[in-house]
Amino acid sequence: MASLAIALVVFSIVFPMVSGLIFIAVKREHKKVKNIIYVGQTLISLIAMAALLLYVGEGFSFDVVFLAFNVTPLLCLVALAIVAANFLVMFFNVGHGYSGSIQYDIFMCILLSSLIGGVFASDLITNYIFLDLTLFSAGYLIFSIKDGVRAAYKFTFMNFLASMLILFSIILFSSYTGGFAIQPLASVHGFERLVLFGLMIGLLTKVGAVPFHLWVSSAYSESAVPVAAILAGAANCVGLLMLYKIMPIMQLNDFLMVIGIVTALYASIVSVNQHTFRKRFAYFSIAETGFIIYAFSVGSPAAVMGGFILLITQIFVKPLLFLFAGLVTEEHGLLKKVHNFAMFGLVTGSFSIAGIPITGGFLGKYLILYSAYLAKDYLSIVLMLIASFFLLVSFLKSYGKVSALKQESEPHFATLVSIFLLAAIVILIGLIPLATGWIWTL
Amino acid sequence: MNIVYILLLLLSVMILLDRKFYRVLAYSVAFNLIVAVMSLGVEMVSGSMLFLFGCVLFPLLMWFAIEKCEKVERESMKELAAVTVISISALLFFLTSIGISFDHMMLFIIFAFSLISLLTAKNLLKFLFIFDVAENTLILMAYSFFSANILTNLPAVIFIEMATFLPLVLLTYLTIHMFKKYRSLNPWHLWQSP
Repeated sequence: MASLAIALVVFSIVFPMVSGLIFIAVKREHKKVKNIIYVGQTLISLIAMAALLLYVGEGFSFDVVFLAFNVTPLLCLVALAIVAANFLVMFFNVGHGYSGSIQYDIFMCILLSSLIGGVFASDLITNYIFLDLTLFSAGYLIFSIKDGVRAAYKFTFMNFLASMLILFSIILFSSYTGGFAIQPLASVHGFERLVLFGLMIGLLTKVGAVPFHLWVSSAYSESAVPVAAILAGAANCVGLLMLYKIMPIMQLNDFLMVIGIVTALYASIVSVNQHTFRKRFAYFSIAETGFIIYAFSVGSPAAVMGGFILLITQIFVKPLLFLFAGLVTEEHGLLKKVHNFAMFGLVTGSFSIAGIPITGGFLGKYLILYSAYLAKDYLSIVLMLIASFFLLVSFLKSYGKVSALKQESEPHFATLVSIFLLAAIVILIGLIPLATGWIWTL
Repeated sequence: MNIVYILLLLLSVMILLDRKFYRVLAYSVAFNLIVAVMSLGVEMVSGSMLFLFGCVLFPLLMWFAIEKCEKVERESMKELAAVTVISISALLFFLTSIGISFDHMMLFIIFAFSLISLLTAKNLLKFLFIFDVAENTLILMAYSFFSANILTNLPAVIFIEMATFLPLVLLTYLTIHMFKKYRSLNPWHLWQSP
C-alpha cells in the first residue's frame, strides 16, 4: 500500500511537468483546446491526490534521488486543496479566456509541480529547491502579461534575494547538524541565532510579510488573473507551510508573533485606501498571511489547527477574490441576471478574510483568538480584532464600488460556476467542523 | 591560501565599483574561476559543475545581456567607494569579535558585502554580477563548512546549481526587457508607481 502511495506522490509531482510538454503541439490561437487540456490535467491531478488521501494511512517518509518527502494526512489535505483550487481556476479560465505563449503554459505546469513538491518536501534542501522552482516559474508567469515586466522584476529580485538568505542559512545550519534534516540545534547562541534569523527573514520575504511585502501588491495586481489567483493562494501557502515546518527549530516565536500581528494590522489598514479591487485584495492576502504567521508562532494545538484552517481556506479565498476582480475589471461589468452569483463570491471571500461567520476564515480566526485568550495575550486579541474591523471596512468600500460598475457584457457560465464553487467550499470549511462537533474536541 | 580570499574580496569590490561592463565581466569570470579551482580541490563533481556554470554559462549569459543593454554605466561610483570601505570595516569588526577563522570570516565578508552591494548598486546589470558573486561564495562556503554526501551526488549538485542559476537567467531576461521598456537600468524605476 505504501508503494502505491509513494507512486501517487511522485506521479502528482511529475505529471503536471511532463504533461506540460503537450502544449508545444498546441498553437497559441487554440485557446479552447489549451483550456480543455489544463482542466483535464488538473482533474487528473485532483483524482490522484484524492486517491492518495485514501491510501496515506498514518503517513510515511521516502527519498527520491536525494529529495526527501514526508506525507501525512494533513499535508495530503493541503495538497488536495491546492490542486482543487487550481482546477477551479483553470475552469474559470475556460470562460475568461486568458491565453499565453508556449512558455507560459509550460511554466504554469512547472508551477503546479513545484507547489505539490513543496507541500511534501521534508528536509531543508528539498524545500529550498521546490521554493526556488516556484520562484522561477512564478517570475516568468507574472512577466507573461503585457506590462508585467516591472512587477515580475520586483518579484524575482526580492524572492531571489530571499533564496540567497535561505540557502546561506541552510548551509550554516547543516554545518551544525551535519545534514539537511529539520532538527533543533543543540544550543542557540549568538551566531546560531543569526543563522535562524536569516532563514526566517528569507521565508518572511517569500510569503510577503510586512516589512518584506514590497513585491506583493504589484505581483498580484499586474499579473494575469489565473496567475494572481494561484500565486496568492497556493504559492503563498507553500511558503507558509515551510515556515510551519521549520518552526520547531526557530526559537524566535515572540518575534514572529509581532511580525504576524504587525502584518495583519498594517495590511488591513492600508487595504482601505486602495483604489483597485486587485490591489485591495493583495493587501487582504497580506493580512491573512499575518494571521497565519501569528497562529503558527503561538504553537498551541488550537492555534496550529486555526492556522491550518486559515491556510486551507486561503487557498480558495484568494483565488475567489482575484477571479472576481478579473471578472469585473476585464469584462467591464456584470449583467443583472448573474450579478448575484458574482456578488455571492465577493461577499463570501471578504467575509472569510474579515472573519465573519459562517466561513472558514471565521473558524480559523476564532481558534486563533481563543488560543491567544488561553495564552493571556490580550493585546494581540485587540489588535487582531482591529485588523478584522479594517478588513470589513475595506470590503464595504469594495461593495459600494461594485454597484457603480457598468453592465456591458455577459460573463461565461464557467467563470460564474468556478466562483460559486470556490465560495461554497469556503463556507463548507467553516460549517463542517461545527456541524460534526469536531471543533469542540480541541 | 589567505591571499586567495583577499583576492576574491578585491574582485567582488571591483565588480561593484567598475563602470565598464566588459571589465566587470572579466572580474567575475576571474572570481568564478578561482572559486571553481578551489572547489575542484575539494570535490571533483561539484567543482566541475561550478566551472561549467560559473566560467562558461554565466559569462555567455552576461555577454548577451551587456550586448542587449548599455555597455557603460553613467552614474558616478564615488559614493559607493565610501559605502564599500565602511561596510567591509564594519563586517570585519563584527566578525572578529565573534572569533571565527580567517577563511570563514572572509567568505562571510564577501557574502555580506554582496548583499549590501545589492542595496547600493545603481544599475540592474550590476545586480546580476553581484548575485553571481553571492551565489558562488555560498557554494564555496558549503565546501568550506561541511562535506556531506550530497556534494558527491551528481543529480543533487545539478539540482542545486540549477535552482540557483535559473532565477539568474530569468532575472537577466527581465533586465533586458526592463531596458527595452524604460530605456534605463536605474533600479529606482522599479519602486515607482506605474
